[in-house]
Amino acid sequence: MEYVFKSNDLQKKYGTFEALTGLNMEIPKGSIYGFVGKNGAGKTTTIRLLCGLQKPTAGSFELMGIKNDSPEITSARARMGAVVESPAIYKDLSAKDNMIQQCLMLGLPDFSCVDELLALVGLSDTGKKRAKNFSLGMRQRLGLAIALCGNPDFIILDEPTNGLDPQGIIEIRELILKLNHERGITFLISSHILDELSKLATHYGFIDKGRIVRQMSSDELKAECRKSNRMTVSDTKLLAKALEEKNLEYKILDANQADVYGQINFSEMAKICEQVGCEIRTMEEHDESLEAFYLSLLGGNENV
Amino acid sequence: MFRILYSDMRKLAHDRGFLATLSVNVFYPLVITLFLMAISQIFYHERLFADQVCFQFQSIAIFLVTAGTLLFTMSEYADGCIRNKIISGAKRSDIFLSAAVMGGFQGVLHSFTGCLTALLIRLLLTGEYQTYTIPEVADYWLITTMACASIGVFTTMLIMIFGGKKASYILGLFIATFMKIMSLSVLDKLYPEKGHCRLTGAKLAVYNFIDRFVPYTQLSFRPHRPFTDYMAGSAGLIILSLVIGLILFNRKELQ
Repeated sequence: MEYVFKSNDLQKKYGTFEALTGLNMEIPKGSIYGFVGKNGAGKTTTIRLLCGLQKPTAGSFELMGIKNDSPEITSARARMGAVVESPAIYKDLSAKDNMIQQCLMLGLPDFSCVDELLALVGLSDTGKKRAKNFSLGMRQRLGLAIALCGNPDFIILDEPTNGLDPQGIIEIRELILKLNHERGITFLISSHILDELSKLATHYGFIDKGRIVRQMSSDELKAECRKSNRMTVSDTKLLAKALEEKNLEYKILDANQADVYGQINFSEMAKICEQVGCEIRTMEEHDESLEAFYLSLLGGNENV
Repeated sequence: MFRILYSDMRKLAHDRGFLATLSVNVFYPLVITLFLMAISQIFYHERLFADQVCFQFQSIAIFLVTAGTLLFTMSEYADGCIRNKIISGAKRSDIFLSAAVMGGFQGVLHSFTGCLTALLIRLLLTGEYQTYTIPEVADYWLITTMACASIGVFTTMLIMIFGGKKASYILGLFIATFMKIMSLSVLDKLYPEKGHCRLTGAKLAVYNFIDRFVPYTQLSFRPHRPFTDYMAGSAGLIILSLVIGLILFNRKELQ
């Protein structure tokens, strides 16, 4: 598999504080990579290193096949766009002038992409309105349009739906999906809105205490987050015996709780349990979300 | 570097901080002249001499250039545009050099505007009598332009290495104020109104050095040293700012 970004034991220290403690992360080409972690887990530090804003203390990474200490890394970054923390826009300039600034900086031969990109993000009718008078959502879209200048292969978005209204969130989501499908752009999206991320991401990276805890594709995640029936019974040992006889897949959670997978109805379940003398107290459909998976993976629910 | 420079130049034309300081540059001498004109007419019944008003810019140049470059470069940081340049693949050295050139360019523009305003004031509002010859005035404006450019580069360097922190505002304006006060003190000690200079030894050497080579001092008093001294002082500050800035900005960790 070809990777846009690959890190090898990446470390970053700020004084005595270790922000990254050996990060090994791979972003497959053409993917939408959801970067998930608590506040202070190391997401922004990783993005800063990737963008060249800071240098790693130890370890290395490759961006589009170019090593971080190579002089050629700047040419790899020229094929990249990013909206990190807040969109980088000149507040005294209009949306169009901001786009022209970016084109000039990238050394693009003409400004033909400007109108197209502004239309793409829904900012074509802002005229001479200065960016400082834009709403947060409009600024976010302009930041995205700027990041799209020069047809990048890789875009980094840090909390892209921050400050957007529900309609705006849907539009940005659709735009990301469209750009990924039609132009093959790889996205790295760091977001706290896990439910929103689950509608976009094709791959996930879960980071905690400066290292990747787990990387997986969305298919793998779906498999782990599949639907089940969560049962509370008098004794899960008896339940397990009954389920094994019926060849049903299950997962014991504790002495009284278990998840049973597959299509089963209550009366059928009641009959099975009665045969082994197990009493059913509750039974409800359980659908593990990305958020729940994340919490179970990191073992905590603070600052999600 | 040139594409970044072009993009920065384009931004300068729209930058509110720079345009505001440029307006002060035009209106301050005008207001002062009108005030002096009124006093001159009411109390002395005579027109102003050109000498009295045509070097108004020099008295505020240190603060104007410092404030203009501070506002321009600080907004680049605050708006995330320096960060965006690095993310977009620009080399740090190119970003710094472009910013430094812009700082110097702002100093030149301020000096040019000040000179033009002074010329118009002289022609329209004074009796045009002055004790300086045209080459002397031209010389002074050239020295002023060089000093402004070097102060612009120096201030830009401060902001670039401090990463747009509020401390760079304070430090920039503190240095400008300190240098202004210090240059007045140096000039007072070297050229006292009454009697002779009483400085000796190392103190005299230091004061002489400041008077000859420090651009901040060059803006505080009419030229009285060889032109080459002033040129060396301004060039020295520019080179020093570029070297220190390049080393530190290339190592700087940005947020």
